[in-house]
This record gives sequence, C-alpha cells and structure tokens, in this order.
Amino acid sequence: MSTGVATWEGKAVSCGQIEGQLQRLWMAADSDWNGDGPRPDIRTSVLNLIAYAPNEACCERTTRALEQLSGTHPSRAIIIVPGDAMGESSIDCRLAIRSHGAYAEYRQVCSEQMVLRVNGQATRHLASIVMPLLAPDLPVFLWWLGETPFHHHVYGQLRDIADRFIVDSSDFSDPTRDLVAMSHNVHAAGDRTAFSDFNWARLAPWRELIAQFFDSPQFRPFLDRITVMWVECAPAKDRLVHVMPQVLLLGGWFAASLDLHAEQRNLSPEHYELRLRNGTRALAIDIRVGTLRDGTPVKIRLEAPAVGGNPPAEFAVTAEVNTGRVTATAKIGRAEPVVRRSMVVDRSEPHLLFEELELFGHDRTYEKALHAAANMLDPTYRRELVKGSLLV
Amino acid sequence: MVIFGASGDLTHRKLLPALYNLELGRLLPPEFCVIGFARRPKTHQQFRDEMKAAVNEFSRQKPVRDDVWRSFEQRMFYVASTFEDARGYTELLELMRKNDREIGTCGNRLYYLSTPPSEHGAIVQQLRELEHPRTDGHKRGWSHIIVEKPFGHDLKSAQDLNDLLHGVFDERQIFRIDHYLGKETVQNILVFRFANGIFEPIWNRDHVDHVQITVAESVGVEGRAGYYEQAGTIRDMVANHMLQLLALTAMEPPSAFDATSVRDEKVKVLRAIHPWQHREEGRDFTIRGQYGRGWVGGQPMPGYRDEPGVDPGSLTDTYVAMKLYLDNWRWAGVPFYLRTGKALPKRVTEIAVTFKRAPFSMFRQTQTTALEPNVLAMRIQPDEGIVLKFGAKVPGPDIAIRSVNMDFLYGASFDVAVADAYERLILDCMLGESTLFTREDEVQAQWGLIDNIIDSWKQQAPPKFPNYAAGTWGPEQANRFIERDGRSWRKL
Repeated sequence: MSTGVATWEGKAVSCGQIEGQLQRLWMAADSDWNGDGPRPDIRTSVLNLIAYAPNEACCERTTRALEQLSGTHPSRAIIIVPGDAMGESSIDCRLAIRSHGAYAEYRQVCSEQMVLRVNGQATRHLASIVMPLLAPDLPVFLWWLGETPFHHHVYGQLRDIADRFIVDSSDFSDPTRDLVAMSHNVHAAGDRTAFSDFNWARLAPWRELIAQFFDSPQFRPFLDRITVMWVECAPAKDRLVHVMPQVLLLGGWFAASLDLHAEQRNLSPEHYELRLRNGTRALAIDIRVGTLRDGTPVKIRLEAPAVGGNPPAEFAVTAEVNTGRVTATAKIGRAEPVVRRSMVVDRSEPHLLFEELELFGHDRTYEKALHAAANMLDPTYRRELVKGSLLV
Repeated sequence: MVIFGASGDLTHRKLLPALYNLELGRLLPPEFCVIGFARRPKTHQQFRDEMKAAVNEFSRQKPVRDDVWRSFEQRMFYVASTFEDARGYTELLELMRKNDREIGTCGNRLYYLSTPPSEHGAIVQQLRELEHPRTDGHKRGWSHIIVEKPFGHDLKSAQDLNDLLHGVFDERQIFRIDHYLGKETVQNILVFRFANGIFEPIWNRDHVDHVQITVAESVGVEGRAGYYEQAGTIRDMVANHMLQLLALTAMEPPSAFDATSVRDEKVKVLRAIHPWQHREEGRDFTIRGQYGRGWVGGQPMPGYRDEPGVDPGSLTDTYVAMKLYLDNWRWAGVPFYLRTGKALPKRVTEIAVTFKRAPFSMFRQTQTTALEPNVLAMRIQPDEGIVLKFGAKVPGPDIAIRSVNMDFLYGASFDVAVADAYERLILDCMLGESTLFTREDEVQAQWGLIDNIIDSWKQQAPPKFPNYAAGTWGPEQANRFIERDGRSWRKL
C-alpha cells in the first residue's frame, strides 16, 4: 500500500504556486529523511496521468485506483474536479507525494498527486491549467471518468494534450450514439492521440477464449463457416446501456476480424439484430439481454451449420454466476464436446487502469473493432466518414 | 557600486536582493557601498526603506534579517538626478570620495547601467568626467561597468555603444551582462561537457541528430510594451540568451577555463552560424508569431495587441522559432532548432540534444512504436538538472521497450539553495572575472545574425498576426516547420 510522504493544500492558488509547493515538498521529504527506513526516491515518474473526475465520487475512485498503482507506475497524477462553473475563477489544490516501498529495499518509489478543484470560467479552460503542471517529456495519459466526453466543452483541449485518452464506455449514456461518436473521434485524432476503453480490456478474456478455439487445427476450418453469433448479456445496474457497449465491441471485433460489413440492422433497446456480409460471406449477430450476471456478457455462442458432408459446429463461452468461472465448449456434430475451464481474472478498475498504462501507441485491433461496431450501428457511418474525409 | 536607474524594476527584483544575499553570505567586503542614482527625488533613508521592502518581497532568503540589514543599509545612499545633469554626477563623485575616505572603498567603482538603452549615452558621457582624473593618476582603485541588455538594437547601434564605452573604459573594464550565463545550470553545461570524458566523443554530427533549445515564458509583456514593441522576441531573447546557450552547447573545448579561452570558442560558434544568402532562406528557416487572447494557468490573458501601450495593429513578434546550421566540421548538417515565446503554457528553458537512432533495430517485431531516440536534456529552469532518455525493457515475458528518463536534479543532489544569477555575476564583476560576460566580438556576431534575420523578414509579406492563442505552444506553422523535417518539438 502507498502512504503519503508529504502533503500540502492551498485555496485559490496559481499554477506557479503549485509547482513551487511541489518542489518544496520534495525537498522537505528528502531532508526529513533521517536514515531510518527506505529513503524517499526523487521523481521516479514514468508518465503523466490526468484524470477528469466530474464529481467527488469519481475523484475518490481515481484516488483509490492511483494508490494501488503508485508502486508499479510512479507518475505525476493530476486529478481535475470541476466545481462551480458560475463562480469566480479559482483553483484549489491538494498535493501529495506518495511512496511505495514494495519494490525497493532501500529507496521508495514515489509518485506525485495533485487534486485540482477548479471553479468559474477556468472550468472551460482546463488545458491551460494542466499544461504548466505536466512533468516534461513524459507520456500523457488522460482518464475520463463519467459520461461520454465527446460532447463536452473541454474534450478537444484535453484530447490534444494526451497521448492516450482512456474512457469507460460502460458509463456511456447512449451506447449507439456514443460508440459511433467515439469512432469518429478516433479517426479525427489520427496518429496524434490513441484511444482506449476499459470495456475493451474487460473483453480480453472473452476474446482470448474465442480466439483459442480456432488456434486448434481441428477447429480452424469452422471459423470460415460461422454464420451466427449469439450473445446473451445481463443488464448492469438494471440498465442495458452499461453492458451493451462491451457486447457491441465484441461483435465489432468479430466482424472486423472476418472483414464483414453491416447490411441490415434491427435495433431495439433490448435486442440488436445485425446482418453482416462481405461478398458471399454472411454473418448474423444476435444480441439479447439476459437475466444472469451483472456487467459482462454471460454467454457467447458461435454456430457453423452443416455444409455438404461437414457436421455442424457450435462454440460457446459461458460465464458461471457467482464463481467467476468461465467455460469454453466446442461441439462438433455428435462428437464429445471439448471443454476448457478458466477463471475470469481481476477486472477491477485499478487493474484495468494498470493495463492501459502499459499501452503505448495505438491499439489497432481495438480501433478496428470500434470502427466495425460503429459501422454496424449507424447506417450513415461510412458516408459520414467519406464526407469528413476521414476514411482512408 | 552605483546603480543607474535605481528606481527601476530590475533594482527592486534582482539587484538589491542579490546584494543582500551576498551580504548575508559574507561575500561582500565590509566597506562595500551601494549608491542609487535615479531621477525620482528621495532621501537616503527613503531609498533604504524602499530597498528593504524590495528585498523582503523578492529575495530568495527572507524575511530580511534586521541585524544584517542595519549594517548593510548604513552603506546605502541615494543621489537624485537626471542622467544628463552634470550636477548630479558632481554630487555622486563627492559622495564616492567621501566613502573612499570614511568607509574605505579605496577608489573602487562598479557602475551598473540598469537603464533603458536610450539613457546609456548620456550616462557614459558623464562618467567620462568622473573617470577622467583616474587616468591622470589622481586616484587609485579599479572601475568596472556593467551594461544590462539589450546591448544595442542592431549591429550598428551595438558598435556605436561599444565605441562610446571604449571612449571611457577599455574592454576588460566592460561587463555586458546576460543573466542567463550566471545561472548554475548554464555554467554546468561547460562542466558537463568538458569535465566528463564520456560525452564529448559523441557530441558531434556523427551521433547527434539535432538540438532543440527552448526558452518559453508563460507571462506576457508585463508592462514593458514600450520596450517590447521596439525589440520583439528576436531581440529580447534570441539575440542574447538563446545564442549564448547555442554557443555553450556547440563550442569546442577551450584550452583553459578563463575569460579569453572560453569566449574565443564561443565567438567561433557564433561566427560559424550559416548566414542566409536569400530572403527565401529567412522564410524557410524562421517562424514568427504573436499571441492573441487566451488562457494561461487558468487565468485569462489579453492578446498582445490588447496590452496597454501596444499598437493595435502591431506586427511585433512574441514568438520565434528558427533552424540554424553551423558551418564547421563538428556540426555540419546538424540542425539547431530554437524556439522562444511569450504567453506559452509554462516557463521552461531547456537544451535538448537528440541523438541518432540505433543504425539497425533488431526489435522490429516487438512493440517499439513508442521508442524514441536517446535525448540528453539540460534543464535550465525550472527543475534544474540533466535528464538522459533511453529505451529499457519493460519487465515481462516478451520484449517490450519503453523510453525511460534518468534524472539528475540539482535540488535533489546538492542540498544547498542555488544562488541567483545576479549574485554570481556581480561578484565576478567586482573580482574582474569576465568569463560569464559577453565580449564585444560576441555581441557583434550575435547582432550580425539577428540583422540578417530581420532583413529577410522585411522582404517578406507582413505576417498575419495574431497567429497563436495565449496558453498554447505557439503558432501551428511552428509545428509544421519542424515536422517538415520529420521531427517534432519536445513536449515540455
């Protein structure tokens, strides 16, 4: 666990004061060291992490996640909490140097954390506050908490200073609209900013299990014959929207992998029916709301019909309620099913963030899945891209 | 020490705090006296009180220690006069002679021109009268004069000022101050390069891809519109600070660490800067900018043209980026990118040497997209120190490579407060040590280049200003300017 080495708080402060106080904290932390215990290390940051936390609850979430990460990803973390936009422009700041001794015997790994509560007009100019405070020459990760960022007035300015823009599409209020918007924004950002989504990371074990079916030479030929993908998912917090982006990304990933494009869409709040095609190759994706597990897909089934003398095949991945156990089953004709069992690894927020901070550059697989999902959802998607000269 | 322009901002913010800190550190001789010379009428005591308040506000060590101040202020005086009035100088001379007799200043004089350049002529003319008896052997002691930047506004005016000064002082008595050279980290460039054996062999065109020198300020013109309208960033920053940083970075090893050897090598660099032959070169190798309104540090900032005293149609540059080449064996073909500006997101000064990539990457199949070339960054301010960036393997089963920084930070390694540049420079001047001051031929070489650039600008169409918002990293053209070469500005 991390502990605070030194802290400072100030109200209505300037960026220069914050920078000065941070230097003082470091000097104080170093000079206070009396030779007992691990010595506080100086500026071991490997990245800048900006977190946009729209409220106190999100701020708390961020702080908790960062506490778990300070040992493995020492960083300068800047948490922005927008306050009263109508009030006078001001910045209230809480600074902390946190140390983590688990990985060093004699010196502790230290991180810097700034919580900035911003009021007034300054809430519309957050980049002007963040930029002077970034540690130079380190990658900038931006974690956007809360609802969709793409329509927010500070989105563009924060995106422009980030190397990686991290969202959690499970917070999107309208998955159809917001995934399409996200896809457009990924296109628009080009090589400048990479995007990622916690929901994509949550899908990793599912994608892995599905892909592993077809690693086997025995099952590989069936991949080209799959015509139906059934996905049964559960509503999180009684709302379909929280889980739907994840499922749509899964569908997008599958469609992108097979180079398929949506032809027909039948979208209702609790049932998405999609028909995809590329030449003679066709695939139906059917997504339904189930009633089982909270927050993730619970059952994915891929079907390949019997063709000629070849038997039908079914590949399924099912999550078991409560245990976290996942079962992958491959069934060819009347043969005995092949069953693999594994556990879903920790998908908590700090763990997801940990994985994102390991990523540099663009995750092209994710981007293709996102674009394919957007294409499945929005009949005008490709036309809009061409119009905006974004489609290469 | 006589400070001409003692009512000015520099005296309050820098000179008196520097002198106080020297006094506090017992680095001043006990007979050291300060005489303020300015137009505004005030008594000695009023001047002392004003200076005490300034020290309390701007000194790196505060509050003022009363015991130290009481002793110090007894040797602090004031002469109220215009710079043209001979009676003021007579009064000054009498006061200095009195101090020679009663306090023991021994005829040593340090004149500090902390005035606008337009006043230099009048002051130096009057000093001729004060200094004249000394050449007749009536007095003993030394006389040195410190001249604040800007040292002229072009090559001709700099030469005129040199001629004027040389009419009274010889070159070894003249100390042209560029406070950047007094910064510990700037001096450390020489130590870093020439006291370590491992860097010099790779400090050349064979290993260096390019060099970036950045001097960014987050403030606007801060009430100096009158000066800035005439100077612009090119004269305010490039003509002195930036070219000095370039010279220190690119110079050959001097044969000794003394004023002549170091400055000989610096001036060789300045003379090696490739001169532009055509106006197209000026257009292709420089970018000008002027800030419009924006936000810096969460505060609104007016556009340059909205500042009091600025012409609403002003074409003065507040941002300059340029690419220079040096015509010598060490640096032929290596671009030196310089950028400086006002109203940028943060205050930072840095020299970054970017090395060439490894000639062959055997890690092509791994996730190395984020792997950047090795960079050695010398940070002048803030966070003074040196950073070396290199690629390292991320722990794990596969070969993933990430750029990491190895930091040396002054504040962390040496547990002492870093002295202000003016403290070092004033002390050096008293000791007659001129290594950290700019010599006449350096100034001329600097202005030769700046005149060349400004001439090329005059032949181009007027720029469309403002072209960047306050709080951003300059005009978009500056990004395209460097990206055209397959490079990018460092993220600071």
